[in-house]
Amino acid sequence: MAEFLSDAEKADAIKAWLKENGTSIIVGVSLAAVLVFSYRYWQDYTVTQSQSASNIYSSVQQDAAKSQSKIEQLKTDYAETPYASLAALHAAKNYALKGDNAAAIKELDWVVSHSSEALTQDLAKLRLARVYIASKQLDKASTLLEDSFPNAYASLVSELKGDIHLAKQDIQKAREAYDKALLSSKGLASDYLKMKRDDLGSAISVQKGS
Amino acid sequence: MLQNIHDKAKGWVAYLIIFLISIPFALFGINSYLGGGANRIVAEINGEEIQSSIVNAELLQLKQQFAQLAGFDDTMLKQMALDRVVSRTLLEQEVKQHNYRVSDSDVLKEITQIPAFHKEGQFDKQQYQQILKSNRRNEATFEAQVREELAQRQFQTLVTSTAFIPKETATHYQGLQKQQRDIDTYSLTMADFKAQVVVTEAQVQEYYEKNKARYMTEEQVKLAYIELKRSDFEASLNASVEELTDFYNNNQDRYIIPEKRQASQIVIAVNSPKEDAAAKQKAEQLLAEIAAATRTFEAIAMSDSSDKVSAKNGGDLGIIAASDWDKAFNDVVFSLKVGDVSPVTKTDAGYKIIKLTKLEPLVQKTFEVAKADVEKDFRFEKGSEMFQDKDDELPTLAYENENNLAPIAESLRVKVQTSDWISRTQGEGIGKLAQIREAAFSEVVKNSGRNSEKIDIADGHSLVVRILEQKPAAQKALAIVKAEIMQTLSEQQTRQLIITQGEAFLKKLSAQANWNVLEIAADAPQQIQKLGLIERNNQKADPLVVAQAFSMQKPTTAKPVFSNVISPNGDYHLIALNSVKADTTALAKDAQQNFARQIAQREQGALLEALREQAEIQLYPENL
Repeated sequence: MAEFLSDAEKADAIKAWLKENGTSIIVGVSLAAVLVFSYRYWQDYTVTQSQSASNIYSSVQQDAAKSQSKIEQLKTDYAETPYASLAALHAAKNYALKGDNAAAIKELDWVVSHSSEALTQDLAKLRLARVYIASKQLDKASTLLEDSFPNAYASLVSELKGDIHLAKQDIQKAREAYDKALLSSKGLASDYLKMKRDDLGSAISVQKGS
Repeated sequence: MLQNIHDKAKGWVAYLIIFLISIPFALFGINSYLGGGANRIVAEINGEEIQSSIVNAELLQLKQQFAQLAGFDDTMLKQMALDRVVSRTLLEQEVKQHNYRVSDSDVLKEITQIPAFHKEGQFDKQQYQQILKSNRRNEATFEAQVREELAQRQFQTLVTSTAFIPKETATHYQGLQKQQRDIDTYSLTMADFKAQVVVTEAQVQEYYEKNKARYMTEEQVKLAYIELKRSDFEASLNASVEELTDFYNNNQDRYIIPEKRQASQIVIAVNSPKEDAAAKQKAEQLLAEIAAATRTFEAIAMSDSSDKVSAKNGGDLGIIAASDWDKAFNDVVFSLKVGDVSPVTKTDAGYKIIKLTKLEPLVQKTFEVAKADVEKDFRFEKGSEMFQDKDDELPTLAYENENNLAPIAESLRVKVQTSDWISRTQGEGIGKLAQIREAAFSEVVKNSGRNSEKIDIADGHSLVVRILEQKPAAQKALAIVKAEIMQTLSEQQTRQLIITQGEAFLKKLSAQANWNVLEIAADAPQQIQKLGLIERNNQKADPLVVAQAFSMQKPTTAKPVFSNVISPNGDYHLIALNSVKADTTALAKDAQQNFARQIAQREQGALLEALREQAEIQLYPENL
């Protein structure tokens, strides 16, 4: 401002400005307050949700046999917490140990479609594929494994692909897939994987002397 | 006033003001550039900066764990420490991001289970607060930390506690594990074929010429050295009777036979707070019996004491060492007179009645009796002092007289000694010590010809060395290495011969699928071994042969399939796989759970790796 104003003139200018912008200021401030408070409320809410879910989950861990209702409760009331997926993974294990593959598939499928954690989702996909293969639903397993996985899962994915080929009696492809699984296992290959590969006969069955 | 500044702040005055203002900004944080900031950033993980102090704390732990093991150098440990911190940080971030959060009751449960906060077997709130206070922590932050750790544990068990393999898969797994294979083997051994190989002089000559670099003597050095050894100083002491008597007089408390107290006890155990009153009453009643002499202490101990071990001996505990017992018990034992029976006493183990059965008072040994010990202690203390004085001076002296040992020896009143020839890998005398060999061939000692730094071998043993003479590496004469070369060539040629023979056999066998084609004479050194049905974990057969047998092509007809495997020692094994027998036993009870452990391990590894893969990680190991 180039020109100098008297105090009275300044007061008038401020009043005029307030008249013009007062409402928007009040609206803006209250909007900000609402935002801040709802964010805080939402934060508190997630924490309490997580805590109660965690509490229920603890009791699931302690007694898996009697826990089916609690697992369902976690899945319906606490689906947005990680504990719902954890509980479903537990349930899948319980069913599979009893030999109920169909029920295990349902639980794992729930994790694949509901979990917000990519890591958990990928893990559930691999397990789901494994149960599909065990129950001879090879096409469903193949479709699952076509998704992209982090490199870290390469060995597990190749092993499952080998299992599918083996189930289809495509021995050559199974060998290749198991070889790939072994090569990418970084020393963590299970003896099961090695046995599966060995059982298909060595492609290099005659050892040449050097 | 503002107007004044406004008017005057023009030209050079304005620049001066700006300059003065900018000084604090320019210097702010400068200490982190000048090396004063000991805490530097060593990693950035998804935008979170990791300070070197965190990694250093981890490094310290690793060092305590692995320092004793060979093959762990500093760089490797630093790498490991950084790696662990990265993994941990990733885990923390993942857990936070996805709202893993443990309930208050779980946190409470965890804290009340920590033994450090227990008093008499129970969680004690006062103790808890006291321990936190003495560690300068408050309850809120400690509880938050426990909560975080628990959440991480939950995440980690995500994989391991939920891993499984389906029944069908487990059955397949067990089937492979218990599969049996019927095999025969026939071996061509190095020992049998060795006689057929003749190594000529010309071959030896040729090999020697081609591999001259392999037949060199090692470079050697002879060292002059000054050695400080506590044991030498100990031995050099006179230790006159006067000195020893003095030493004895000043340290009399060392030459005693300590007091010995033998006690017996009757214990009435208190297993739960509810039993307390009853136990106390029973103990009082037993004590009354002893006082009234209706039954002896020993008889009661035998029939009523809860401590069954001592009860057998009438309650006798043998000699009491104060450190073995709780305070209440000690206070009683060390206040009783021989033959006295204590009142009923509450201890950690319950209510006790204690009787002191024997007391041998403390005995001061005379100088004559203790003389041998006194002399040993005297020599050790004086010898250590002498060693310490000289050992403290040695580094400076070695540095100040870097080209000569004589003045050092003179100043310390020791002798300069001379070593035998020492190579990088072996030597006699001080050459046996790896630290000495390393120093002898170091840049400073070998190439610059200066004194080494002080080398500490062990507590009470240190040296400084310098080079006296050098002998460079030299070619060994053919005559000296001839036998060695003959051996090498003979082995090479035998291997070659066996492989040629073995391959020819395998070709015939594979074509005819019958051992008969080999026409093995009945008196030949090796015969066909019929191993019959073996399992994967067969311990009797050569493990290489077993492994090969279980990875061979399976026979599709009644005829066997042939293969081979070569042992590291050169023996060549031909293998016939006659048949494969599938396992038909039912799935073992725990098999499914046991097999799940393997898959859990793989899944866990993959998950942590994936976490790392998706993270943005910048490492600055040079800042460590």
